[in-house]
Amino acid sequence: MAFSTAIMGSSDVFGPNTGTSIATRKEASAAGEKIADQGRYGDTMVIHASPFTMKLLTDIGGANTFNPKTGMLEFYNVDDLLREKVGY
Amino acid sequence: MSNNLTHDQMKRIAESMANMGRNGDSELVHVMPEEVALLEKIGAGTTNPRTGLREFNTTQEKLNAALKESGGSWTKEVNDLAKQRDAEKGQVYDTKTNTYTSTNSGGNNNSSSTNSQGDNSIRQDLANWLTPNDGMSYENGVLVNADGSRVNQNTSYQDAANASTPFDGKSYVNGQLVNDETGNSVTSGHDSVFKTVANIVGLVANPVAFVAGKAINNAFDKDGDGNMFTTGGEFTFFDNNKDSSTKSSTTRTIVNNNDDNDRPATTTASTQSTTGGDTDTTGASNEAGTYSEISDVPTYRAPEFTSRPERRKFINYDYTDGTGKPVGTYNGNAKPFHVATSAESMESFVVAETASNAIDTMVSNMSPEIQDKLKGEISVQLTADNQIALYVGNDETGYVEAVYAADDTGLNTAMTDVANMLAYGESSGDLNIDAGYSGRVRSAARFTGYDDNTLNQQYAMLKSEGSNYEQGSPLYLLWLERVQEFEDEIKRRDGDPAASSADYSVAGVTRSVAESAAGFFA
Repeated sequence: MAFSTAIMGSSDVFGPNTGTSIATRKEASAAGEKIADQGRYGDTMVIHASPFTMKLLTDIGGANTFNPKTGMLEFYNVDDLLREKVGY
Repeated sequence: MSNNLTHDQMKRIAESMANMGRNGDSELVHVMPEEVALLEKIGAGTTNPRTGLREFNTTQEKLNAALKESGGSWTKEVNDLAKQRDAEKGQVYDTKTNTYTSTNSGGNNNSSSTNSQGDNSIRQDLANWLTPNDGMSYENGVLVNADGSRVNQNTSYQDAANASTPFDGKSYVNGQLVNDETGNSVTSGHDSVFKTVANIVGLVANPVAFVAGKAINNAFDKDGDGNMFTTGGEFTFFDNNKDSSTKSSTTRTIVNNNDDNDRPATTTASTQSTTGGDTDTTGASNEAGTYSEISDVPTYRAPEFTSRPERRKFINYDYTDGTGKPVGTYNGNAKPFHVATSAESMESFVVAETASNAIDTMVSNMSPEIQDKLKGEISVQLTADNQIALYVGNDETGYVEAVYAADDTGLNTAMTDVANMLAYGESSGDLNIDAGYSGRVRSAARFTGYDDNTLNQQYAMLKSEGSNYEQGSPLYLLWLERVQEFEDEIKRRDGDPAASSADYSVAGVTRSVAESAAGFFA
């Protein structure tokens, strides 16, 4: 997966001084990319989320299950998955 | 891209990156590009400077964080965020009138939500946009089927509450208020008093004992001011020079030594007797002129509020079949037979006195004007079965006994409720503590923030949907309970005499307890 699609807006990372070294930011970005690769059923990105954002994602059909590889919550679309698996 | 990391390493990296979230972002989550695109549509997407990952804090969350950082000061950043939040909600705040004006009326909505259905919340519009073919949609905040019938089991009042407070962390789902994060049921969205009351009962006057007590008082109450020891509401001094059988009382405030007819009422003694509600008053002049030289002695008016009522008088109240309602409690106990035993031991005396001192301290912190106007009784007694009983009311309307659990916090909780009562009295001007007072306090707390218009509108809306529910069904009963709650608040605001009755308090406190209990069983 291309870096730019894995982490939207990542170019912003290397902009103004954020108080975190460029090396650390690069490292974090690379780690984010690796983690994003572990998504399943259409989850190809990772984002920071507050409880409100997670509620929103659940409300709009997100799975709100745990990814077995990363232990992170995942919000692939349940309807899409069912359509794909069951064919309804 | 190849991955040589183990799952365990991956989890640790994810956890570490999640900790780099800001403004309330507590998790790192897997999402689909379509979902991210949708979140971007809300217009809240920014990039976390430490991780380079997208984050989607709402403006309200940013505002909260900025306020926290500024220590509550209204900085430029806070101001800008508040403006941005208002604009996103389609509102403009007028600092002159302290009111909000909607910018969504008249079809001139400039927001990005071009397919908004009337009064839908952002979430509801979002749901419509995402699921166009599921046969359901939100219209004016209500989830309806394609044929227009309601899908959601919420009342319109509950839907309106959802739409008006999208960021409060709580929502009504199928008639139940739930925590947005956990999905568990929560109690009322407003702070509620009397939540920890273990039992509540109204005390109505016993027809025999109460009237007998009144008759005795009336026989000695020469001036009809309701107290045999005062004249015109003021403490009196007996004239020891007179024979005890004809002893009459005068006050030291007498200033009028003229024998004309416009002498003050305090110079007139009278006798009253009450039989079957008829009052027979016989006036008799006394020797007012005798005391005319006493004119500069400050007078003392007996306070009309007390935290130390005569304890044994509660024996004279009948719980079961007195002269009126109510006769039962919310848990079915009709007769709390532990009443009026508080003076029977040192411990009960100490508890009652400690509470009285605390109540008096609270009252003394109120303004003098408020203290002068405060009437009625609030007292705490320890009961025979070791519970904390709070009595609120007056002799005319009766009392309400609220029992608190006999644990370490029982007394503190009762005193907190007393503090809430006094705070309500001070802020509302409702200073006549009667049997309905607890109910009025609870109702006022429940409807805090509702102006009369909002209250009436929501009441009308609620009433109109009664036909949607099958009579006797759980939803119908829930609806009925809400209607009664609104009606009680309207009675309170209208000064309806029903809001002074013991059953008004019993109903109100019972609702408070029920809401609290709903949270326990979630």
